[in-house]
Amino acid sequence: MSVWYVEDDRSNLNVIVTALAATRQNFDKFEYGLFDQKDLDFVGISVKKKPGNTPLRKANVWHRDLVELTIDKATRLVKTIFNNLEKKRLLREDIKTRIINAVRAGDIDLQKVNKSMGEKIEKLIA
Amino acid sequence: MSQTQTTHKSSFAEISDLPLVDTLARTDIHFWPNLVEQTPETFETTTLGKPEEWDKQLHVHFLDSRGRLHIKPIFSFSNSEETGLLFEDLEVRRGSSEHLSPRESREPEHITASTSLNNAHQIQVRSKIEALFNSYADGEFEDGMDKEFVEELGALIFGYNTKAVNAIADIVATNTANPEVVSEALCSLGQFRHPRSYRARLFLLERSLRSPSRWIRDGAALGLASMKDIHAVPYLREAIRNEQIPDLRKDLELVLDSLKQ
Repeated sequence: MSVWYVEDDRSNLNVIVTALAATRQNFDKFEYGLFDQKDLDFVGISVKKKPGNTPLRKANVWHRDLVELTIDKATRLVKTIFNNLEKKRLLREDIKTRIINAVRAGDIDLQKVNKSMGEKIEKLIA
Repeated sequence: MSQTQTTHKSSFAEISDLPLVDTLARTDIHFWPNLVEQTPETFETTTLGKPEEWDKQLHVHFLDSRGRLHIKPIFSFSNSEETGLLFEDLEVRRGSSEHLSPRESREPEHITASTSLNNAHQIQVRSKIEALFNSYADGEFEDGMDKEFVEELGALIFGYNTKAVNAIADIVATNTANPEVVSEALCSLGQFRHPRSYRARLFLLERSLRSPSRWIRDGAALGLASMKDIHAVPYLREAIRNEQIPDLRKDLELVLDSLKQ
């Protein structure tokens, strides 16, 4: 299972969100949840660094895989984080702005973007 | 940032000197009995009921063929022949009759195209919308993915204009479709670039913030976020005051903040 490591000061959060949003076909609202790494330790789930594969290169270093994940551990993880999960939503326009800005800054590799998303981006930056 | 398309002005409040209570954009008489009106200040609910039960305090604001604004008690408003015009959108504000001038004129508002009240056609359009909603009733909508549902809905909006919006309003009011499908529809309504149906879509989204379904309230808020029209601000404020679900209240506040920027 893929998760993304967010620094304690959340300095990389925006980049990760933009990176994940850029993997989609469309500009749309984006929702995510943050939980503490201690919850993984509590459930006994190991984390492995593995580069991500988003179009936003500099975000890919923060990708992690949850390994040796059994159904039991996954269930316990959900139960553990359920009440403490910090949920956040970003609106469609916000996501669109972030992606376009990242494209203009040269942070997003348009060759790696989904074709449908790429067409939408190109219309906006044309 | 607000849309440059038609926006509903606060002119009625200027005319009537009354606080804004509500606006509607419906001509379908079947919609009215299901309507519940709230005043933001008191939160009293008043069922508008059947036309024969409307009292003289309910006034209709409409534009004649020259774009002049008229205000008439709704009980006196019978048919288009009497007013000499055909129109599509009806705006109603509740107020005390003695505080309103019998007739006011102003600069023509930019109104949507007029058409006759054609129930047969409206029913046909509603069937198409219902069929679309039912065909996606078992599916799931994934954020960020292109959705055929949205394309098909867009085609109906572009093809049938406010009749399609009215059909969706009917479905929302009568609670006859999967609320998650309705939510997705409402969310999409805000994204279509279609001036003719703009006001109807805006009004529907504002009204849907009062739905008993959390999915529909959420979809309506997302639709309003896309429209970026500050006309929705008082409706969102009211929805936030009334919202019992904390997560959804946060989401509504997010939309309100986005409109204020």
